[in-house]
Amino acid sequence: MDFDWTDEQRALREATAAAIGADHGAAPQALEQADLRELGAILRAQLTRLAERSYLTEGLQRLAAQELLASHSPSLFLAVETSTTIFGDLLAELPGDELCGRLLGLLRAGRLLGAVASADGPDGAPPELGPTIATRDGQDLVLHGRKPFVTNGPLADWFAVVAQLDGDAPRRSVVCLLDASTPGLLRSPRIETLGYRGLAVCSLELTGVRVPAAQVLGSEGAEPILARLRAREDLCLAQASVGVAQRSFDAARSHARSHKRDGKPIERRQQVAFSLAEMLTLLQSAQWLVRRAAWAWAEGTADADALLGCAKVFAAEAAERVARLGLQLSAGAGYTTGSVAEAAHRDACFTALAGTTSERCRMSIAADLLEGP
Amino acid sequence: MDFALTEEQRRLKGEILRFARSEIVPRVAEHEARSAFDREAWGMLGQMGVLGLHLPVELGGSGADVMSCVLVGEALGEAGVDGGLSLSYGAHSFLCADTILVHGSEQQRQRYIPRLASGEWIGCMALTEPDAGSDVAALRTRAVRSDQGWVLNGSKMFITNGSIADVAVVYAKTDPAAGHGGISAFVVERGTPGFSAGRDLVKMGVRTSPTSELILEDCVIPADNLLGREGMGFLMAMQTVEWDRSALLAPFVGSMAYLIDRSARYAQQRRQFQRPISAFQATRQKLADMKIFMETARTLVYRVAWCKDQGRPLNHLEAAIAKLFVGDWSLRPTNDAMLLHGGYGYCHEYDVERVFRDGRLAPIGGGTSDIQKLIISRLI
Repeated sequence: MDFDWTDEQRALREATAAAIGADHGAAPQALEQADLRELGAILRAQLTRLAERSYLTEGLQRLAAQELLASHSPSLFLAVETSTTIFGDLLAELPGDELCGRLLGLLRAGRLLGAVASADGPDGAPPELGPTIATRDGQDLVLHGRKPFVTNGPLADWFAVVAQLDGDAPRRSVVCLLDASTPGLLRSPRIETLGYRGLAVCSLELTGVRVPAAQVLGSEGAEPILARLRAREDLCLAQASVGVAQRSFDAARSHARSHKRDGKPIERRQQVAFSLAEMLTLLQSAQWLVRRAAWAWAEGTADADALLGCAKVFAAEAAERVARLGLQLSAGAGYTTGSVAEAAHRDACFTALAGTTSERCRMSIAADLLEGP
Repeated sequence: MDFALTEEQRRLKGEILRFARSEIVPRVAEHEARSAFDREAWGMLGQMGVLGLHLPVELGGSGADVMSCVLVGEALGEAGVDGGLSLSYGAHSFLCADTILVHGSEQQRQRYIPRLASGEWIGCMALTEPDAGSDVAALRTRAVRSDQGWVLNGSKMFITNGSIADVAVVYAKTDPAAGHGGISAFVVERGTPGFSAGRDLVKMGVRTSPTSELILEDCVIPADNLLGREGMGFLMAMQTVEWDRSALLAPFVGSMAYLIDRSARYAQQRRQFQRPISAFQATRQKLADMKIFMETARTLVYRVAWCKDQGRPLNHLEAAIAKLFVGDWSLRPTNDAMLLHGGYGYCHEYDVERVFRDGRLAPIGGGTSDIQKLIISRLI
């Protein structure tokens, strides 16, 4: 057992700090206020800088650097990770493939932005909002459907779109790689969201989108790939939660030290001090559980899925509580639009409902306990 | 970063789990009902090497690291051993024996450690007083030099193992004007004239662990019974805190695994509205929350143990965070376990209410949750 960062993890964290510090445009507030064109420019500049400092690599050595990026800007973190980790992991499923290899190279160099369109509309939705269907046409697949809430969607160069193969019973899933300029692929206007306003999100309309066989992953059934995809996504969301909590705690502590009432900093008031203590306890509890889950997942331990579910739920709820306490502690300054406390409060709501929702996580955890993994 | 247990650690935990389930757990209900300390179980723990786990081999211990002690504590809780026996073990091994081991003279070590390691003697730590808990500087017990050594006067409160202990580590003021620096620690043996135990307190939980007052009335002890140097008592007390917030917390983590197992089995057997209650999402949510708490708490407790094993001094922040989390965040899942059992959860024979009662000590013993917040806020 070892609770310390390795030298490599520390070095990458420092390099990431340098990359973030070098680009003031990536300041969280700038990201929140940027229009789509500005956001694209900031994001691509950041990807290049992070690539230069080896952030866009694989594995556990990024863990400390990921925490830093998530606490700097949860939006930037999710944008980078969606492209590099979630989209990148799908490409890595076909290591010998020429297209995947080329895209992966661009991705790791910070010269390509990827997005993953996995969610479908709700059960019983009309066909235009229902699951995306892939119909065979010779060697190609033809896609029809709609994908809501695609992170990086308005800016992405390439998409990984999950679709269900028509005609199979039960329907199997495939993952289709699509260039953003593919005919029939249409992006909706950017969706405005409560939190994570530095993240570009849209929906995709797919109307007769033709996909060559070479761009289809998991043609024999992509379910194992999708399970890993969901786990990756959940881990990123849990890390983002910790980032929100860290950011919120740092801002609250700073406010409590500098804001005076009756001639002394409010941090000397026991209620304020105890609030900070609760915030730090929740923050560190979430941080360590997420680190352990990330380690378990990377190592492929038997309890990895259960730990990941626990970490996702706990980190999301801890972040909400920390953000709430941070807002209360910051009072009027925190309630002002554009403050860290206000943004954290909005951001914190997201991760409980994104990816595998807290409700579904809990049902999976309980199912493991009752029926075994 | 690496969160894997070694093969040896896994094996140790498994052995203790099996031993505790077969030998100790069948005895719990009867002793708990009578609020009686289980001496036979104590002897078995001694024979298994649990009581001297971290003590040196040459003094009769097993020379284990802190993480192993945490795993043993966790195994006891997970098996269903009551919090009382685990608490007595913790106070004996970590608050008494460890203090003598770390700060005692060679003579003191040779006299006490082998007996404590085997369980032949029971140890306790006497710090808290009726008017001095976490505010250690407010101790009133006095130790005054005399021709025969030291004369101790005062009373101690809430002393785990107080009425059954053969040896106590007693904290007293040797220089009342010196604040924390005026506190010293002494070893006092059972039977010493002027040293006696008051009544055992009737408690909500951890009932098999006697908690009592200790009375020191012109209690004369030899000069050699001073532990370490004069005025070092506060530091010694602080060094026990990590144990309080790692190995002593571990049984609470383990007991959550016990509750999860009991609750899952009950939920599968108990039928309402023509189906097992495990089919209801409300039941499943409770089980999931217990698991989420357990894994978070486990990670924090392991962290404190690991820090201590690295030889890092004190680790106050890590320890306080673990203690606060286990204490405050365990309330809901233990309550959920009882609710899940409905009326049966309210009855003694289902054992869930026993764990619920035992668990109420977590935010109180070894420094209340407010004290942990105070410590954390000072370290932020």
